[in-house]
Amino acid sequence: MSEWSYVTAAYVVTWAVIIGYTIRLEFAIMRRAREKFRVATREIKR
Amino acid sequence: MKSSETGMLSSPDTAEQRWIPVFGAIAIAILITTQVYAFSTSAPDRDMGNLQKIMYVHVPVAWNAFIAIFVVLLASARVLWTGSRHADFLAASAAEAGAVLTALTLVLGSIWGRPTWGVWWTWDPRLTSTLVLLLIFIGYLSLRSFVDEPDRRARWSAAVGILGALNVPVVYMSVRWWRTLHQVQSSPSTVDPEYALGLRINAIAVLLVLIYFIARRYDAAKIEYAADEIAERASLAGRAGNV
Repeated sequence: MSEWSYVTAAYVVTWAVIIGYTIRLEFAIMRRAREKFRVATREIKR
Repeated sequence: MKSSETGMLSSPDTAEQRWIPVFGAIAIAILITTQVYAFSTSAPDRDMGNLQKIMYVHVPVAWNAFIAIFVVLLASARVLWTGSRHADFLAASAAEAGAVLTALTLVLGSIWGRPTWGVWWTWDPRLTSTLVLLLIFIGYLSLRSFVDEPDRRARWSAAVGILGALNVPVVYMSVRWWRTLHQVQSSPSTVDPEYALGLRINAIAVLLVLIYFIARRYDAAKIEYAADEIAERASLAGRAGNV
C-alpha cells in the first residue's frame, strides 16, 4: 500500500466517525428523547 | 439530588436547545476548512513523507479525548460532592464523546503505525494504556446502562469516571516513563514550526466538534430525564386518583 492509501484511510475513518456519531446523536438519541418526552406529556394530559 | 434540579423542563419547546445543531454544523464546517488548510499547506516530512498528514487528525483527536475525560473528572467530582443531576448528565455525555474519540485515536494510530513501525498493533506502553482507558470508559457506559436507579447510577459511574480519568496522566507520560515505540508527545513545541499552525487550528476545530457532541448528548439526557419525571408525576397522580 502506498503512503497515500494510509493517509486517505485515516481521513475516511475520521469523517466516518464524526458523521456517524452526529447522525446517531441527531437521528437516534435526540429522536428517542423527544419521543419519550412526547409520550410522557401526552400521558399527563390524559 | 437537589430538588431544584428535578422537574426542570416543562415543555418540548423549552427543553431542546435549538442553537446546538447550528453550532455543530459550524464546527464541522470549520473542521473541514482547517483540515483542507493543513493538508494543502504542509510539505512532506523528511522521514515520514506524506504520512505526516495523519498527525492533523490523530493528535487533535487524542488531545480532545483527554479534554473530554477531564470534563468527566470534574463533573464526576461534582456529582460525588453535591449530588448534582446536571453534573451527572455532563459526565455521562463527556464520557461517551471521550470513548468515541479514544477509539478513533487508537484506530488512527494503528493506521499510522502500520507503514511507520511495520505493525498494526503492538503491546507498547502508550498503546496499551490508551486501550485500558478506552475499556474503562466502555465499562463506565455499560455500568450506566445496567443500573436503573438514578442516584446510585450517578454515584457509581462518578467513581468509575474518576478512576478512569486517573489513567490519563499514565497515558500521557507513558512515552517518557517507559521505553516505547511511540514518539514523545506531539505538540506545537515538538513539531516543525511549519506544521505547528495546522496542528493548533485542527485541535481547536476538533474541540468545537467535541463541544457540540457533549452539548447535544447532554440535551438529550436532560429531555429524557424530564420525560421520566413527568411520567412519574403522572403515575403518582393516577394512583392518588384511584384511592
